[in-house]
Amino acid sequence: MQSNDQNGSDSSTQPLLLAQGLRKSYGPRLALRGLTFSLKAGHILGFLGPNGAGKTTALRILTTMLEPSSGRFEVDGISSEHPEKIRRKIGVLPEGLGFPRHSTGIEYLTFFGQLYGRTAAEAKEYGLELLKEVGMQQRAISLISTYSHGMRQRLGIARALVNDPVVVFLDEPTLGLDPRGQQELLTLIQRIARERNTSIVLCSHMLSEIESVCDDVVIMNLGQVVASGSVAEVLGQAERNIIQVRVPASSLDKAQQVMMAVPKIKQVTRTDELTGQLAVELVDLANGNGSEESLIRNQILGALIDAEIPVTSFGFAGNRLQDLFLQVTDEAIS
Amino acid sequence: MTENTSQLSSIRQQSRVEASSSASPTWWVVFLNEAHGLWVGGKAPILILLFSIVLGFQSFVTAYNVELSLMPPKEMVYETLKTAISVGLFIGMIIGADMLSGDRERGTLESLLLTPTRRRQMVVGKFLAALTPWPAALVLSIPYMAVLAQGDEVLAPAVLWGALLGTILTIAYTGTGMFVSFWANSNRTSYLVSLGIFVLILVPAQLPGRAQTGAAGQFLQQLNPLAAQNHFLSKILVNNRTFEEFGSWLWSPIVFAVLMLILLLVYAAPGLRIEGGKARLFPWKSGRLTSVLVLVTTGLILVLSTFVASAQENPSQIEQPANPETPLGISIDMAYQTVKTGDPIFFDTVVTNLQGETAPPTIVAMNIINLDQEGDVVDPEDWSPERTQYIDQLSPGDSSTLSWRVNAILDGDYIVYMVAMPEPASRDDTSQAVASSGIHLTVMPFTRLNPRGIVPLVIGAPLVLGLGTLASFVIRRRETQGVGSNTGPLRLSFVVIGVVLGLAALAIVAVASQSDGTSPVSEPALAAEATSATESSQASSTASESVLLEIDTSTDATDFSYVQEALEAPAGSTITLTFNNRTDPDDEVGHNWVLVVPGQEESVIANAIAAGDNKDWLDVNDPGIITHTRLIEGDESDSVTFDAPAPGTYTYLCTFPEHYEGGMRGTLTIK
Repeated sequence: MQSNDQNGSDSSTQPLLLAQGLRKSYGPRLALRGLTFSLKAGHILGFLGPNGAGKTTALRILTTMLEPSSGRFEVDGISSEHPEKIRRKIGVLPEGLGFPRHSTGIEYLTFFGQLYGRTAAEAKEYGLELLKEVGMQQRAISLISTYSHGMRQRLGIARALVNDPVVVFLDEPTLGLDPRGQQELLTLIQRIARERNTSIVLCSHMLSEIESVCDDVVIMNLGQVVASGSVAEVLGQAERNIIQVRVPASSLDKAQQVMMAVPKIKQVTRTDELTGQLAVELVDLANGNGSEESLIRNQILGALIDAEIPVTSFGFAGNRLQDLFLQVTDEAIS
Repeated sequence: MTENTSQLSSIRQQSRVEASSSASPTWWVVFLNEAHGLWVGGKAPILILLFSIVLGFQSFVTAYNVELSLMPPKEMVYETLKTAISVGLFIGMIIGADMLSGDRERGTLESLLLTPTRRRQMVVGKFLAALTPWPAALVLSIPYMAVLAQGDEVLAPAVLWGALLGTILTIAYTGTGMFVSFWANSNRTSYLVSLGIFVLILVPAQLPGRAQTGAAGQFLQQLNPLAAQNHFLSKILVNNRTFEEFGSWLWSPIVFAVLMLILLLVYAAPGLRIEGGKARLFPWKSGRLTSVLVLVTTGLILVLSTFVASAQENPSQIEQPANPETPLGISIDMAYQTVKTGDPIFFDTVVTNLQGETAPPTIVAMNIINLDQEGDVVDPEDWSPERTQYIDQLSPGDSSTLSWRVNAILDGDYIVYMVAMPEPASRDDTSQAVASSGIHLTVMPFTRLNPRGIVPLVIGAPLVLGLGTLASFVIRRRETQGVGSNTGPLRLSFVVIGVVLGLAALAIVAVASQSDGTSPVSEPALAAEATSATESSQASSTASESVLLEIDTSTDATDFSYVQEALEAPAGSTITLTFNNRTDPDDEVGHNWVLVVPGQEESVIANAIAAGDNKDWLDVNDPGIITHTRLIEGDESDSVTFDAPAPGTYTYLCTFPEHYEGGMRGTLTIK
């Protein structure tokens, strides 16, 4: 990422968001057991974790809605001891954000602009620009109650940008959207990060979208970080690669034999007898080299074709981040 | 796109600069936003609409009841004001109860908390917005009170005291609702708890008067802010008492309001959070602080109230002089009463023998004093059919109950009191009288309320408000669909002006139709027709025939009736009527004969009573009267000559108090 003067002090080297050992307990229950991570300017950080992993708690602490039991964090050099100053620097799209039904989009943004110290006229002018930025300019004077879910999410993002934050937190922004809406919103998020050079924390359980959009990722489980770093780094930690093959049920035995004969295959297991599904586990590939991996895939496919087994489906069992996710959360549970 | 981007970044550059100096304070921004949501969102207009329906229903029932019980205008205005304040408080409380927990539930609170706005400013803004329906409700209630006041001077003090006390209590109630809302995680909890508090305060305040007498009852009533306020209003507005006497009753509402303001804005507001539950104030643990606050408050209220109660103690002691020297005790079951001229009041006295030996036979006599120095001396014989009653010997400790009736003959300010006089033992002995406490009797001039005067308001006000609300919804919808977006606010203000003008017009119509209330009302067209018919028949009377009619009264002094209850005369004739009072002159019963415009019977009677004894129980200028004789005593006669009115049936009657009601009436048919 290129450095950006707008964000002030040494943004190229200093992380914009820095969390150190954040802990939170509700009575005897520990919801967060030490969260430490950092985020650079213009980066998109994916925040992953199963339900109850402490994502929401972490997000509420980072957005000053909750006080940590211990630990601290900084936003753009401002310590968490000054929550009001931090609020000026961040923008948040909370999960399950509600809207006043009887306001229009522009009235809503004008109100929030005024809360950040703009005059009504300035706030309205900038609100219209924001609506344009999220592609909602045509619906500016429509009542929010007439908006679709996707439009409300866009309005929520516009609201999060109303103070030109240096860090934007988005909690499950694509939840409940259709695939096309999800894709459009993710594109919008990427554009915002690029054009505004704003750091974004993207909380999601949609692993594919984290993988496609995020630069960095933090995976949480049971209140602690189980993996973190750039997406590439984290993926490097993956130990297994599984290919899923589907053949007619009658050819299961034969397919299993044929594939076991291919070199560098560790294990072939039947995952579903009825539909003829097989899971092929490769041996560890030392450097995570893509070309070697594709070579092995071709060999497996070639062996099946040679044996005249009809292949109905051939591909990765899931995306690779999902494998990693399942692996690290499994380990943590056991 | 690139153009947009460059434009954007320029605005962003601009806005990186901290808050503009000209920006409004955040509490004001929050207030405007919340008030906009309340009023444009439709919640406040609908509540105000409901308010107008409740108030209309209440005043309509009051107005119709008046026909039966003759409630004086002061009391009707007080009852209406009481209802207006109660409903206003209800509105304030439920809006307050929805403010924070509702935002929590709708997910709109978090986005607000995420802004750098100070928590207290948010709460202040929302609180002020929640107060906005009250002024509207108060203004709306003024026409109702104006109609029921019927020109009584009670209206101005009712509006002023209502505005002051209603505002104090609205602050307290709205604060309570918001305070509950502050802690409630769900809106339902908040509503339920708030309504529970509302009912808890309301129920004791609505208990009938007798349940509230006694030291404990009065103490509780004084503690209860709503009951205390109602008590104060009733004393000031209905009983013409002064602020100096009853000002101490306002402590409870004031303490309540101040307490809620402190709790909400000082204690709770800075700790506003996404989740309900406890608020936190940094130096103390909230649990301890809450309990300390509750204790201090309770103590404060207790101390204040006992102080106030003891201050009230003195006048009530004066009312019950307990003199152990007195052989007899006499008590009355009434302390004050407000009635209209012509109304009877009934009360009981209890004479008790307080001494150890049998009391001699006792005479109990009733006295009435006019408290107005300039006023007429009261002749108690006119006021009561039975002025003295006799009691036989009373054994030690025994008591005797006597029932009394007083007819309020003249308007004014009176004291009725009883004297018990033991019979002297012998011819050269005397005895000591014992006087009871007085009944403070306020007699209002008779005014007849036309309940129809309230009808345009009862129906019109909700209609105008409903149409206004509907119109504003339609305008808002059109505006937000991009149809005539620029004219939206302008049209909305037209609607508001329309609603205000509509209500004002209704109020003027209602009050104007009511200002006739003291003079005869109803069917003025017929009256006019009758008058003009009389005039035209007068013009052509030269050619008309003469008719002689005679009418006698019953000879029985207690049977109020005419012997001839139906008379006839041809149209266009000149009638000479001779009226004979056939009663015994010793009975001192006066009668007259009054011919009345159809439909005006009640008002003629009312005006006659208002005219009073000095004018021989007749308002001779009453347009409801066609013709009349003098008021004559037994064995006297009077005659009157007049032109027959337009064909029809006319009532004649005697206007001496109670005679018409006793059946002294008949009909003259003109054919």
